Amino acid sequence: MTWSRTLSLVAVLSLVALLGFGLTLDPSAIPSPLVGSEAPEFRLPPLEGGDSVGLSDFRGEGVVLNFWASWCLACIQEHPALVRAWETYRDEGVELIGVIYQDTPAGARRYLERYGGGWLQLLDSGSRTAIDYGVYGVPETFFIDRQGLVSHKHLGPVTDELMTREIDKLMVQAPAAPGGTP
Amino acid sequence: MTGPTMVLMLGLFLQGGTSSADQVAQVVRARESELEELTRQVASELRCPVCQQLSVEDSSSELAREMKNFIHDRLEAGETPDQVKAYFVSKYGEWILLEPPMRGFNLVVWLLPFFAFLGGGVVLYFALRRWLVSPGDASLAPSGEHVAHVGSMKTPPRN
Repeated sequence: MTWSRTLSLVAVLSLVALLGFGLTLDPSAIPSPLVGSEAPEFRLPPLEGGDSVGLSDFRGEGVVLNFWASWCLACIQEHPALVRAWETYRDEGVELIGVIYQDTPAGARRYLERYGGGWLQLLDSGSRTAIDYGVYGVPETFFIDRQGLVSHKHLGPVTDELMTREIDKLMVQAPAAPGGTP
Repeated sequence: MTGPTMVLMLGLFLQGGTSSADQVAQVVRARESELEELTRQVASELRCPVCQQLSVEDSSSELAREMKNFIHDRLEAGETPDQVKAYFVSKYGEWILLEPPMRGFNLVVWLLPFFAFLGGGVVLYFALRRWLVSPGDASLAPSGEHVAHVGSMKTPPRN
């Protein structure tokens, strides 16, 4: 083979290899810049009324923050796993909190009546909190440790295995000192 | 209200002439349309996270609308366009910018098309040189031997 033919072949094969590698990547698996940083504070009204609730209210506990909406099919899919996790961990120092994304209170209530679950639900009208967390679709779930740092972000529906694995990580850390909570 | 706006208003007020209330209203309107223009500019440099081929300015998704409100509020509070963009990058990552910054591996995206074009031009040059050789060019004319060989094949082989 001539030198120029070899060169063309190498160039083409390199390009094909690069493109092939690209096909193996998952475009939705963009790592969140928030992982490892302090979880952004929020102050949101609960769906069922009452005083606004903030992330700092739960300092010293692990928090699982789940963004969802009643129009979101994948949220329906993951809901049983959330219910099971809530029932397992609710008395273990881990707080499950739902953040309702681009939805109406009526729609959210209908959904919860139908699919169950009794954990705290907060309304994020205006999507400020969603923007603060870099959310761009639902469901998205953030696992926040006792020090308030984001330990993991999950795009798409959660599974029982994922919930167990990530919540166990939150629980591995020693709880905050008794006099330390605000 | 920002400093420059206040200075402007004070200046107009001291001028007298048309009612100061009208002037204030004028200034406020001018400032607001300035802000809207700046918001549009920043929004057109950010990628809509939902419809990822569109800018936040062009996208009609609800998240894009809310991002625009957010941009407007931050600019009104005195932040610069760069600060607002940096905020979104810190939340979503660099892909939220429609134009990736010219840094590190991103340079490949910027430079590869240029070099590919250049490389293509070189290949084309050599190819054209070969193809456009005039019929009278002696270097590519068939040699005498070749012609004789072709001639001998015109007659079918005899068994």
